[in-house]
Amino acid sequence: MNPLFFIPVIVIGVGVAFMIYMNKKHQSAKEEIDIDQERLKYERYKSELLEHDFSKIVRWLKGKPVDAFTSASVSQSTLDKVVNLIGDGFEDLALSAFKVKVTRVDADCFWVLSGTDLHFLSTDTDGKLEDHIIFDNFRLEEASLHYKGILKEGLGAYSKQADKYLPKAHTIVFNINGNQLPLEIHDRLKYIPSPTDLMDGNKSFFYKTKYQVVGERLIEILKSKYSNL
Amino acid sequence: MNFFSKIFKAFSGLQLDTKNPLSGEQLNHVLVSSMYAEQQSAYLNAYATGINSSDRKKMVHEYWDVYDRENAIKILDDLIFRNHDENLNVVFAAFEQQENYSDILKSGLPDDQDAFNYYLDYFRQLRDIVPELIEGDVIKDFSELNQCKSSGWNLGRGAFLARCVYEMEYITEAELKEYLAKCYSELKQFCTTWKEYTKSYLFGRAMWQGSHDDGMTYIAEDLLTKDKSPLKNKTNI
Repeated sequence: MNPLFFIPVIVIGVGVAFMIYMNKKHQSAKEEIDIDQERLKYERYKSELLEHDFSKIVRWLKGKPVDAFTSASVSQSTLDKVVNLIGDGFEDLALSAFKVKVTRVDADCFWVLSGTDLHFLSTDTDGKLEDHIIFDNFRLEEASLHYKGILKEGLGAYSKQADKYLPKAHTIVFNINGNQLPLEIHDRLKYIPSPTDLMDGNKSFFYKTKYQVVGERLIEILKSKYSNL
Repeated sequence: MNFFSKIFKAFSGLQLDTKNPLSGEQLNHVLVSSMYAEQQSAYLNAYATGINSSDRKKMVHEYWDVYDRENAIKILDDLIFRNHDENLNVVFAAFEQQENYSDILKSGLPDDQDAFNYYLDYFRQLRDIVPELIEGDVIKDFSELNQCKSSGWNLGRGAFLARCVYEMEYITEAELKEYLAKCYSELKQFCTTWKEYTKSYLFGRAMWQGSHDDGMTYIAEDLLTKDKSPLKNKTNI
């Protein structure tokens, strides 16, 4: 038998062995993380993320305090609705800003709770701030909130992960001059592992947990401030 | 004014009336209209605007919706009256104390929902405009607007509109002089210097328009610094 025959067999064998090894490593890393224990580190994690991974949020808030923050998204149906409202001659600063700026359902967006204001921040394809809309106390007092479920729409490659790692979303609905504006609040910050993170199961799970611990707190604080939500 | 004379005026700088220039107190009074006058390439130093009758008519009729004496007087009075709106003090206080803005607005503004919403919209507009003015170097800090608010914008427009409706014979010369003197004394209550007047005008215009226009800053700078400007050597109002 030609010895060259063994080369693909060896490659496949090594590949399978590597997958089994990585799966075991991921499994053990996941088991090592106690989410309830991690939640006790919220303040530290929040400070660390604002200092490093999300320092741009501090810059965008221009000195205003960041009480909580998480990822946000705009559903395709909301984008369509906004475009229609504008087409009907509806004029509102918050909505017309949407028409001009947020045109992509997969744009990176954030919610930041600062005092009694909820800030919506959207970015362009280069990650630069594209729009900054403040939903103030009066808009929040008139808003409603409901659980939407696991979010898959508009997440791109991010949606390829197992369901348990995908964000669960709430929809917050604002009343803007009699019109309903629904926007999505994620229960975690969007984490896209780099290729090196993928090789390091511990690091990847640690970051997923950290992003969840920080992101999930926004809804909790928001609800505690606004009994209508 | 035909198209070419408009272009010529726009590039020839500040417009001064050499035939009947005002001086002393009367000049001070008419200078309340200087920001608006410069925008329109009108005379800065006279009761006459120097703009042609069709442009003036269009401005008064179409922009101001003023077609007669009664309506003219109503709008002129309102432009003075609105500077004394005490609810704006509540809105400004709320803006200065952002951590308590909601309580301040709720406790200080009228209960009537329409009135409340009007001032709430003003507050929201402040949040958009003030950062733009700081970024545009119009003001360094919001506190610079606390006293003058948009008085320069209101009185500046009132003074210029009065000059226009005088030329259209809706009001008499005596009424024009009285109105300009009133604008000047009112302005003194809100602004100490002419520079404050220009800031107040820029602020009011940005609030009205929904955004700050850098071009307006150049108009203010020209008025305050150009040798030809009657405001060049005046500091205090």
